[in-house]
Amino acid sequence: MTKGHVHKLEISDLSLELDGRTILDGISLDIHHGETVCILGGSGAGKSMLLRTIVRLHEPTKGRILLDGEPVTAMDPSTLRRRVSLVQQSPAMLEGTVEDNLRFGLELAGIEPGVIKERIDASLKAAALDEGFLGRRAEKLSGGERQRVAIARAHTLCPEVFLLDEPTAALDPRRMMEVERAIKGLKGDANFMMIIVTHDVEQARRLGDRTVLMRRGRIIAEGDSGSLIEDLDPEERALYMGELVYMEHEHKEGDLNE
Amino acid sequence: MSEFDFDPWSLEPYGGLWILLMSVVLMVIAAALSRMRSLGLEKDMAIASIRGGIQIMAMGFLLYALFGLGDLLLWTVVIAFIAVMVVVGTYTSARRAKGLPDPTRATFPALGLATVVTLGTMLGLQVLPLRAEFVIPIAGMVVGNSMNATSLSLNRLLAETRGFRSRIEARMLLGADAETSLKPHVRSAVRSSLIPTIDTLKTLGIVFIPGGMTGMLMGGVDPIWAAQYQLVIFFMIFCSGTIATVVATALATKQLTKDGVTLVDLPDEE
Repeated sequence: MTKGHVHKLEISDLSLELDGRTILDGISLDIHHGETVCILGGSGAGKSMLLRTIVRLHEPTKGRILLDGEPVTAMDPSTLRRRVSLVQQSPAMLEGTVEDNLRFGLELAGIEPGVIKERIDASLKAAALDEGFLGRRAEKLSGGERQRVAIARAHTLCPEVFLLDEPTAALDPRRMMEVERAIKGLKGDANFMMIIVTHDVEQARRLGDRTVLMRRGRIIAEGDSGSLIEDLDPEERALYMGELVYMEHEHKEGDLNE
Repeated sequence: MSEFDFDPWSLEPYGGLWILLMSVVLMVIAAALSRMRSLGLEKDMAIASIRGGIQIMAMGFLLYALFGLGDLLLWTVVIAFIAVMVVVGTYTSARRAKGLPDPTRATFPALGLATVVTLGTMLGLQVLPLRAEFVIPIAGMVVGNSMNATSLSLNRLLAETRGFRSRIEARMLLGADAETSLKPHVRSAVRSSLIPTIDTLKTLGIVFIPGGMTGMLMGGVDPIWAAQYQLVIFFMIFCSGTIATVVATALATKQLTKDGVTLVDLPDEE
C-alpha cells in the first residue's frame, strides 16, 4: 500500500490535567520524518501520558498536537490511530491467536483478504517473529513475545508514526535485546518517525537519534542521545539519575510482589 | 371472595396472622446459620424481612382498597403504581452501576421501555385482560425481573471495563471506535445477566415451580390454566429482561466513552 508519511509532528504548549492534577505541563516538541526520539524520565514524569495524549486516549487541557499542520483533535480517532500507532507498556493481547491479533485492525480497516495475508507476513518479519507464532494463543505468550506481537500488530496498519511505551520494561536482558532488535528492524524501514518512552539511559543511547528528558510533566532537557546526560549540570544529573535508580528499585519490588 | 375459608386476621393454625408469625421460624434458622458461620448477615436479614414485610402488606391493603374503586380512578392508580415500580427499579439498578457518569439515564429508559413494550404487547394481543388484579402483579414481575437483569448487566459491564481496560484500549489503538472496542464486553454483560432466566426457563416445572403458579394453584385455579399462564409470564420476563439489558448496556456504553473517542475514567469499585 502506498501511503503518505508524516513530515512533522508538532507538539506545542501541551498541558493535560486529570482529576485536578497536572499531568503534562506546557510540553513543546517537534519531531521530523525518519527520526527516532527517546523520552527518558522517572515514574510519574508524564511520559506515557504524553504518548496517550498524542493518540487521544486523553484529550489535552491546553495546547495543540499537529500532524503535518493538522490538529489531531480535529481528526477522526480511528484514522488518527491508524496513522499514529501506540504500543502500550505491557501491551494487552486480544482474545484468540496471534493471527487473530494481527488480523483485528486489518479487518476493521476493510483490507482485502489477499492483502491481509501479505501484511501479516511483513509485520511478523518486521517484529522478528516467525510464522510458527500465528497459531499460538496470544494470552499464553511470554512478556517479550507479547511485546513483539504488539509491535507486529501495530505494524500491520502501516502507521506513519510509531509510539512505543517502555517496550522492554520488565524483560530480562535477552528478551530485551530481542525486542530492541525488532525495534531496530522497524527503524530500518525508516518510513516513519518513532517516539520511544524508556527509563533506561543506555537504551535511549542505543535507539534514539535524539533524547528528551521529562520530569513532573515538563521537558527539562533535550538533545543528542549520546551526550545529553553528560551535558546536564551535575546537580540535576544526580537528581535525575537518582530518580532512575529509585525507579528500578521499585520495579524489582513490584516483580517480587507478583 | 375465595373458594376456601381464609381469615387474614386469624391466629388459629392456617390463619393469616398464624402463618406470618410461624414462618418467621425460617428466618430465625437462616439468621442462626449466619451467626454460626460469621456471615454477618443477621442484621441485613432482619431489616430486609421487616422492610419487605411492611411493603408487601401495604401493597396487599392497597390492592384490597383498589379493587373496589371505579374504573377511571382505578386505572389512574394502576398506571401510577407501575410508574412507581419503574422509578424505584431505576434507582435500585442505578446503585449497581456506580461509576457510570449518569446511571439513571441508562436504567430508566431500559426499565421503562421493557415494561411498556412487554405489557403493551400482551394487552394488545389480548393475552392479558385489562384488569387491575392481572396487570399490577404481572407488571411487578416484569419490572422486578428486568431490574435484576439490568443490575447484573451493568455491574458486569463496569467490572469488565475496569478489568479489561488495556485490552479495550488496545482495540481502540488498532483503529476500532470506542463502541466496537467495548462490544465483546457488552455482549458478555447481556449474556451473563440473562443466563439465570434461561436456566430457570429450561428447568421450569422440573426443578422450579415459580411463585406465580404456586399462588394460582393455592388460589384454586385449574392447574392447566395455571401452567399456561406461568409460561406467558416467563416469556414476558424473558423478553423484558432482554430489552432492558440491551437498552441499558447500549446507553451505558455511550456514557463510558467520551464522544466515542476516549474511555472515561472509572472510579475504583467500592
